[in-house]
Amino acid sequence: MGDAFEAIVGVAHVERPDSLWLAGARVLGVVRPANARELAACLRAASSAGTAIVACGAGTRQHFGNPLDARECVRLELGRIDTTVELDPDEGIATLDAGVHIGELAVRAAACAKTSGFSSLPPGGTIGGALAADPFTPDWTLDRRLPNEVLGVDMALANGELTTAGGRVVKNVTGFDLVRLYCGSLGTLGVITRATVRLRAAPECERVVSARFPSVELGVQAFARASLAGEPAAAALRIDGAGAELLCRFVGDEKAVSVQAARLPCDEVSFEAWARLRTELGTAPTPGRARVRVSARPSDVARLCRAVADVVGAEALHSVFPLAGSVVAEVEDAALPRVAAEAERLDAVFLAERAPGAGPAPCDAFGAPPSSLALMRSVKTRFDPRRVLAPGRFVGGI
Amino acid sequence: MAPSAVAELAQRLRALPDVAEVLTRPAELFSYESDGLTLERGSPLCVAFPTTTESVAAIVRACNAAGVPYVPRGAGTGLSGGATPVNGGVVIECARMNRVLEIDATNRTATVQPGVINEHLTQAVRALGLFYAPDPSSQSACTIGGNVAENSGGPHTLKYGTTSPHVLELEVVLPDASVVRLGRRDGHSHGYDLRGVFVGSEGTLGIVCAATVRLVPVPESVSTVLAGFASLRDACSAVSAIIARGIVPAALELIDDRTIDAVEASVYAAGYPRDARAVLLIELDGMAVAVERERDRIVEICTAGNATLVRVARDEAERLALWRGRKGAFGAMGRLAPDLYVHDAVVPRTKLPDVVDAINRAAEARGIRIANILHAGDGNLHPNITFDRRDPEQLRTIREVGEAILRICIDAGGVLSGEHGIGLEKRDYMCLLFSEADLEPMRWVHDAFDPDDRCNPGKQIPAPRACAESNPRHRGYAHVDF
Repeated sequence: MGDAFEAIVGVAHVERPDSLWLAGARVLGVVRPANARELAACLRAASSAGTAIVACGAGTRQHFGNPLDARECVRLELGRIDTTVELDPDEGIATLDAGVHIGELAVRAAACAKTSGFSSLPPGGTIGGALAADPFTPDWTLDRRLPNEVLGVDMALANGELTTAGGRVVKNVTGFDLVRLYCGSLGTLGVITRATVRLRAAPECERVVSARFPSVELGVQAFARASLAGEPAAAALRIDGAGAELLCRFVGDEKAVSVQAARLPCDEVSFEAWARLRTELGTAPTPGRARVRVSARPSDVARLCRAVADVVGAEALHSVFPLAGSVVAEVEDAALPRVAAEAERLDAVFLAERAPGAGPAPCDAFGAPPSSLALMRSVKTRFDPRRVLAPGRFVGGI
Repeated sequence: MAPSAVAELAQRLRALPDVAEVLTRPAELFSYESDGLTLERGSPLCVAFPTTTESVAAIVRACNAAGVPYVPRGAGTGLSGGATPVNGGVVIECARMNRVLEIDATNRTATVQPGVINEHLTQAVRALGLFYAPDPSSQSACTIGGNVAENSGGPHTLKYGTTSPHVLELEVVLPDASVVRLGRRDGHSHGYDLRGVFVGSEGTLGIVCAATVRLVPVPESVSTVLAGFASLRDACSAVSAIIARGIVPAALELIDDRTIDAVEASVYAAGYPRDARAVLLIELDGMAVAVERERDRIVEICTAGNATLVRVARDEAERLALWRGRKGAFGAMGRLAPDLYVHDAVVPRTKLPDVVDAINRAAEARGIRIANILHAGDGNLHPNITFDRRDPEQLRTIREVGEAILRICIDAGGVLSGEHGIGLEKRDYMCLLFSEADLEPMRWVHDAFDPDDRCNPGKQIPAPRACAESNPRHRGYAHVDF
């Protein structure tokens, strides 16, 4: 099998590690294609041989998803596919290869007073990795989600075809919206090789304000009252032994931000406090530990908080996101099934992240599957009939 | 299908619980032969009016048993032939599924049946300080179910987006008559985003029976600016300048002189300057301090861009009048000819001046004069062609102009549709934009939902191998001259 990959990308770009494991499978080879065509040819070769493939950007999200449903795999690294194809500030778009680092996009965009939907993600990750994982960040709200910022993607399919979905314009209803299907599919339908994303004007002002509360519940209640007066772009309660610190992030016009922030009974703090929260949620858990997120409607957040604390203890709570309706806790691996069961009972969504290389999963990382799982399997079967693209890693073991 | 078999099917549908009515007489069926795109027509076998999810599923089951296709339909205001029963079959008319099922002001969501009229939803939540943002020009008639099927937009899409980001959860009857939920009402769905694929699938993947949508707080302040220009190019350039400066108005519309004439001569008269070659209608919303500042910047950009008139609406009455003209523009064009072909395409915003020029030239070369309305901030063009469908020569010419418009837009890096969808109108032009390899994944998704191709067949995605002849990329050239 390794010979087939060497023939595609060259001997210098295939590595055969002695003892490397990825998502519970032994890595037979690390393959680094130079471009989308080589990548697509690698997928075709893997499909022919029935070899499991896991695509990686910077490898910062390997703690996402279930273990591979394969004993061995090939790790396909996209680091060499890293051209910034176009950055057009007047049009408000950027077209980037999957291997471009988020930090590089941020720097280039900032140089023309722009920002992007990737700005809340760790700079070391890649565009392709972020789109495949669609990770939760402290900035997540119903109307500010990464897929909304993606206009088009190029995708390499398991059959070796290169395809395009969406376009380079900001409004588009031409055919099925496959961009949304591909984003967040964790590399199980194909490998994103390039994306066109929106650029937006960099906010004139960004401010974080803070207030302390003796308990999470009091913090949630205070936020609910205060947010009616001035709703922030994002909000979080960071929980510690002394209670909870409410952090609200405002962005936009300087005067408008000042007016909004003044409506909340909070003090201004350094942006570092918010950046730290982003880093904490963007980093893999330590071995033996897992990070779990339980989510429902914003109005459910206090109830979710109590329920999770009842199962794993209040000291396990890490943060609460009142605008998103999410509670994050850090727990022992062994506690995951109990939290998953509680989430299912509450009709909440469960998501667990475990340390890379952790042992067998105690439960599905995505909790109870949705009612549309059969339909999802049917879609997967058509895209990846040999089941070589990250098999087993996604919802319900897809 | 034999008349006796049709009668039998209709009888079976009438006997189903919660089916309010089944139409079968030719005079009754006439209204269902097309949607807002009257260029294409087809005769349904019958039209059924379900009132519940269960009755939709029962109708689908009956159609499957009889081996006939079916076409879901909302208000029939679509403009791409998506609800036209070209293959016969049963029209499943969802207009009587028109209840608002739940309003959750705390979480800013509403759950509605598909037949709820877009504007009625906003009216239902306005007192709570909320509104439903997607606002197609037909919002006083079109339904949420139709909006979901078409991923409809509207003037305020520029700031708020098309329908898709506003839809959280869908209850859907699949082509096998099973009921499934796509997405979640809290927005935290996991797994493949089948909700996202379903929105805009033009009724080819199943039938929406309930939708939970996001509501948006009514902004603290709104300001509307009208700017007149002596040339279309100046107006387009002002749009590009506003976008390039990073300003995101709630709406940024362009209306040309032919449209202005039609509007000002109609009941929708808005006080647009009749001596202008084009006007921009620019709306800003948000916090008062920010709106005031951005409005000043807009006025400055328009003035520097050779505007012959810049006027800020002084009060709500004047603002509403300005919008009445814009929203009534399509209706006003009824004065110009018996039929109207509302085209829809999108181009990069910086290309607007050149593209609008090229489109006007292409039309004039064929003896057609176009009336342009643009959601200019999105690069979304609506070149409108008035015609008389009784004249076969005019029909041939407007189809020719329509194709020329699409080729110009694609050549400029654009796409076939910004908000009307593909339907029948543009199905065979999909190959201008997409290769066979690009279309194949769409077919896979379609087959996963509807392997027997019974749900609104013949729409949106061209048949396999249709691209080999028409895709410019397949024919070895990337640039098309006009």
